[in-house]
Amino acid sequence: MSWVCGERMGADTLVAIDLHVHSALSPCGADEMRPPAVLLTAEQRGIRVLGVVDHSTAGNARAFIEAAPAFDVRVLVGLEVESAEGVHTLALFDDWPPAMEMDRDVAERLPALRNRPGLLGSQHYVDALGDTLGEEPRLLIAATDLTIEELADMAHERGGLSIPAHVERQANGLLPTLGFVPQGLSVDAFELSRHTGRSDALRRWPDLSGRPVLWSSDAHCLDDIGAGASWVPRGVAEASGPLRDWGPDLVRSVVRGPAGTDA
Amino acid sequence: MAPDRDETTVRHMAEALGLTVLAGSACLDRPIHGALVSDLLSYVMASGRAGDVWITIQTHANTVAVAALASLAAIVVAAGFEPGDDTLSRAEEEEIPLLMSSQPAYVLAGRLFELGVR
Repeated sequence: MSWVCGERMGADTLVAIDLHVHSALSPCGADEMRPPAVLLTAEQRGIRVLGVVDHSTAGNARAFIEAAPAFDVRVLVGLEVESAEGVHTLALFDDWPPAMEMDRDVAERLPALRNRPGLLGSQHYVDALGDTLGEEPRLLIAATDLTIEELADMAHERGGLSIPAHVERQANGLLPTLGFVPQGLSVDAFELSRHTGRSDALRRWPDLSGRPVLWSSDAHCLDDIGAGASWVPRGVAEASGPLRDWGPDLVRSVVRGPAGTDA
Repeated sequence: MAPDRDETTVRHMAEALGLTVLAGSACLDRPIHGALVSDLLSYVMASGRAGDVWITIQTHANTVAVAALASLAAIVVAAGFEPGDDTLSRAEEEEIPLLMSSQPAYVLAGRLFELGVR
């Protein structure tokens, strides 16, 4: 696979963003998904804004935020939470304290089940250097009893973004699960899986028409980072200030998706 | 002789299965023509037929819209899941009987089948 660090389109340069990548704390996330390796890979592949999330937790958020200054990548951190309806939704923040605040609130709404590493994979806490700090014993891949609307509010109240993940996917996607976008749902964008083009998605789910969509890799291993990147004008990706000022613009400015999809 | 399935109404089902009526109590005399069990709303939109009872553990307000679109007879929320106020008010607005039970979907479906809903 070839990677492009930026490309000219009209007057503005387009750059790649990948807002959905897992760390080693997700049971399904590869052990290699630790800050230095993830951030170096993203930098090498020209990802300008990278979102690192784990299922139901932001337990590695601090490590990624602390590691970020050594790399030429803007890092967002957060959680991928399963709502009561079974819908996966991203909550993204520009620093770890708000992410950890949401982490604590989500933890209270998870069923008390234990992970089975042999069956589902290990859940590793790591530091900024990538060293293991410990293992999470709770099962993180489980549905909370929070509604998708409550999850959106929890992200927004803390200055973050709310983005339903892989909305067209049969497993845990918003559209198959809830049939259509709920009336009044306040989210910032709708994520499509990396192999789904906009026109295919619209044909199957006309309800997406006129709504902002973006693509992410949902990478669980280093190889996949950037594989589902979205392309946005450079200026939008490099805007300054807190996320609540530039994040909504960023996810509404996607010009096109990864190769093979039509934006 | 098996009961005429057109004779089974939402009210009859609610009494026989011990369901609690949460909304749409003015529409309980609707006849039941069939039933389906699913928690994926997209499946119900594609497969639900007019007059079906829908047994589900989904409680999101979208369930009511899906039931109205497909002209379903009623929604039965199983396993003790509790719909929120927005779902209840949507059900009143759309005149969709919304009922609940602490019984799991499997048991409710079996008892509905025994009642002659096929």
